[in-house]
Amino acid sequence: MTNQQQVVNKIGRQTILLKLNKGPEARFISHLDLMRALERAVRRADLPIAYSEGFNPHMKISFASALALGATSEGELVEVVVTGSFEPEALMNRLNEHLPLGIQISAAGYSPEGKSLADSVEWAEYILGIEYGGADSEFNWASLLDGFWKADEVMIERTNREGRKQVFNLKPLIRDLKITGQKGSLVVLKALMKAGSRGNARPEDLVKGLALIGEAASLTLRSIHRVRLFGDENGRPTPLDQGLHTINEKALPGNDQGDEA
Amino acid sequence: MNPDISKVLDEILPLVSKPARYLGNEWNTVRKDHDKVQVRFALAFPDVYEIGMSNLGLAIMYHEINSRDDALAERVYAPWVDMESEMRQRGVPLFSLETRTPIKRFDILGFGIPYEVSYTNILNMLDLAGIPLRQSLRKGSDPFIIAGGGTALNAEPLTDFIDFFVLGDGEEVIHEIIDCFKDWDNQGRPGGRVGFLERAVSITGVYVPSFYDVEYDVEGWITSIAPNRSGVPARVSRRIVADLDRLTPPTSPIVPWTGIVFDRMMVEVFRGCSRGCRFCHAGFTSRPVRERSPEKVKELARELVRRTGHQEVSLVSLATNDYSQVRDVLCELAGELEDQGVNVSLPSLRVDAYSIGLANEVNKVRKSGLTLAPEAGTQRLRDVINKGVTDEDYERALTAAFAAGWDSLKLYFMIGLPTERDEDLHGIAEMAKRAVDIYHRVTGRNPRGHIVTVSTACFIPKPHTPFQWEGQVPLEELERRQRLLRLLLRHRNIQYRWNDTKGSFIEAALSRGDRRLGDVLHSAWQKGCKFDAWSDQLKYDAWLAAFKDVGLDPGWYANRRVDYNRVLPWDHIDTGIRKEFLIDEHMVAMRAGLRDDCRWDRCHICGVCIDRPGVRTRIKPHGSVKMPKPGARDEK
Ligand code: SF4
Repeated sequence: MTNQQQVVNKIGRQTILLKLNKGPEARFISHLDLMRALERAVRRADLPIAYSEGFNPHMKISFASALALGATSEGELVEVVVTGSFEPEALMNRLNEHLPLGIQISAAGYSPEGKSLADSVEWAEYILGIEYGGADSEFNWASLLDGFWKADEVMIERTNREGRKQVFNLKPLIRDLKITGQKGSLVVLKALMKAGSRGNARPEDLVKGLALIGEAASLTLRSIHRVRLFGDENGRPTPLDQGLHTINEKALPGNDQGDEA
Repeated sequence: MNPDISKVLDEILPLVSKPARYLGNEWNTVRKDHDKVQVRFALAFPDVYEIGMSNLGLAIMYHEINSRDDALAERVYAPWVDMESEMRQRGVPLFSLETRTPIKRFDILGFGIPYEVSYTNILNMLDLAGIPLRQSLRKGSDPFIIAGGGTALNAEPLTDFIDFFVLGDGEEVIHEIIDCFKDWDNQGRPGGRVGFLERAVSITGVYVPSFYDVEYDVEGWITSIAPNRSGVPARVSRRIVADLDRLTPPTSPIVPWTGIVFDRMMVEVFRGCSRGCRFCHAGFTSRPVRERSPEKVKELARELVRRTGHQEVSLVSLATNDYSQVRDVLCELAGELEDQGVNVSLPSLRVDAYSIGLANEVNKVRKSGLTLAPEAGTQRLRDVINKGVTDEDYERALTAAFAAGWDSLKLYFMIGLPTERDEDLHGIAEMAKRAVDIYHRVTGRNPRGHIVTVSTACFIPKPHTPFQWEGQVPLEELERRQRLLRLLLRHRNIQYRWNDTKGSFIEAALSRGDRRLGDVLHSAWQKGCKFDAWSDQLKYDAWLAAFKDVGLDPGWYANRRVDYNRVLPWDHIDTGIRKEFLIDEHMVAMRAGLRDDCRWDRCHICGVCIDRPGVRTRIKPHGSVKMPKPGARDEK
């Protein structure tokens, strides 16, 4: 366990890392609205939050990575800076009392020193519900994934934030793909995909890529659930939440979550 | 949560814009068991979520109803057009946010009406709910459709569709209505729907339009409005809460997920306004001034921050600078809440240096844009409308503002005010240019971009105001005045924004309309009119066609001038202000005469504090207005 003395820095502040669930009740809350909801919960909970310096001070709360609108998650990571010493568990419990339905903190701990949280993100694990809508009743998912791995490159197009179209190779951005369930035309895929500032693959990109491999197979993304965020240690994905020790049993995802589709 | 609707929503929500509007689940949402209460109330707002959630009146009603054990209130807003079409395609009826219960299953559906151009949305929401639009066609199991809010005081075009209106302050009357409903329900609902209305009509503030007959002459003027059964008052009085300190305002209002129009917590510091700006519907229909005591205001603000976590508290009223303790309350709260990262703000500022100074003290950070509303461009016209702003006030206010660091200014004016001439429009341009000059002088800077934005709205002569006998300036003339202003305001530092004349023409016709417009509303709705307040949604041609179908002329309604002795469509609605007072005000206005605020001068016997026990101007902690001796009313 991290020594508390270590993390209380010179000006008496410490950074606490929280793991957050976004349940189905809140899945249509945008990233911006989620941040606002968290800020308001912090104020209601009357936590000794630190503020940024400057003309328009804002709470020191930062998310590892924005989650797409419509997605659920059990692995969002948030750092909050508090003044004075504060037990992560106490912070988590107090905050949970003030969070709206659909948002819960599931684990808390001290934030590791070093790189900023957002900058540490390299990979994200998702559970995706994808539906095949074509005529082929024998549609073979396994061979589709095979095809994906065998391809030298999977060039897909996407529109960036400025509205310009870009073509890029999806292949190196996907690390792992596994079928974890199948029901009729719906398949549940577990995917480890590149995330963060050094390359980012969205679930939609993966569906596009798979459709391409399946020769324009009609595939629809039905559900997105993010499981965990990873950093990178010597080329190996390492969970960013591994330092969290205080777990909120109540907020652990139930069996139905993730593959609710 | 209704499982059927939830299931379909899961499919719909990814397809519509701003899905958070339809989620519910916000912090402080109240969810009760429908089977454990006797009265189920749906509170509706006929526009989108972001506007409806900014409405203090509905938040108060939500709190009042839910504070009872025997009743529940849930919310519903107008679904945006994309959501509506998904709902219609999949047969999803209008549902409440809290439990996703179909609106048709509630006992009472209460609309808060924000403006006349939301009427078609009311019809559309009833239709989406599967409730017959016309009150005469509703059956026993349909909810009672009621409506309140400032516009309810002249909502005659809605009378076919509303079972009853609730006039004035809602905090007390809502409980009487619920109790009345319970009694009727407990006794086995005697007399059916009409039976309940016949009971409710005895509650002060309840207006049952179907209990009145209106007669017209051949030209379309009203000759009489009279009750058509016994036990119905000839005139319906608006409800007035005598003392705000006796209310328990909501301290745990719902905290929206998403940004809304007024994204702040509102603390009402007083109700009513006796400044007497002659164009102002809200001012003349909410008298007298009743202040909330400073202790209560502060307590309320602290509670609101504690229970909502909001980052901004706004001290609201029709003119918060007039709150007698504004300075102390503002400074104390701002100092205290600063540590929690909370801003305290004033919603609008008067055009004077004092107000600017006040805003400057509490708002040291965000000084991007300052908004002031001189309303008219010359002293003469400002006197006509009794907007007591002088050129010196204006100069001093701007000097103070630019010196304090505000670097842009928004000025609001009305065009088409009674007696307006082109020189008044030139006056607007001069005021804008003077603002630029003052900016240069005070800051020493000479930037290229816009410093001043001038916005004009078209004046609508509103019912219950001294200008109710005036007509709206015809459309073509309003457009000419806008064109003139565009020319006059050509300046690199000035930007001009004007509103849509067509929308305000329709608004004027509805605002000044009578019951016959019910058919026009129905026809307009059938032709697809909705969200008429949104200029990109307004179907002007469809409105004109609807008027034509029914054989009525919107120009007659919007532009007609009415003699003092004629019956006005809203004459049976008693706001508390005497008609003689409004006539007198109108005549004084035509001479550009001023009338002081009764708070600081003396009572002008507008009428509202006379013969109403306990109703008087209340300045907290202690203060009121010098009232005339009994009998003075007749001398005047
Ligand atoms: S009755 Fe007199 S004191 Fe009361 S609001 Fe009217 S003018 Fe003011």
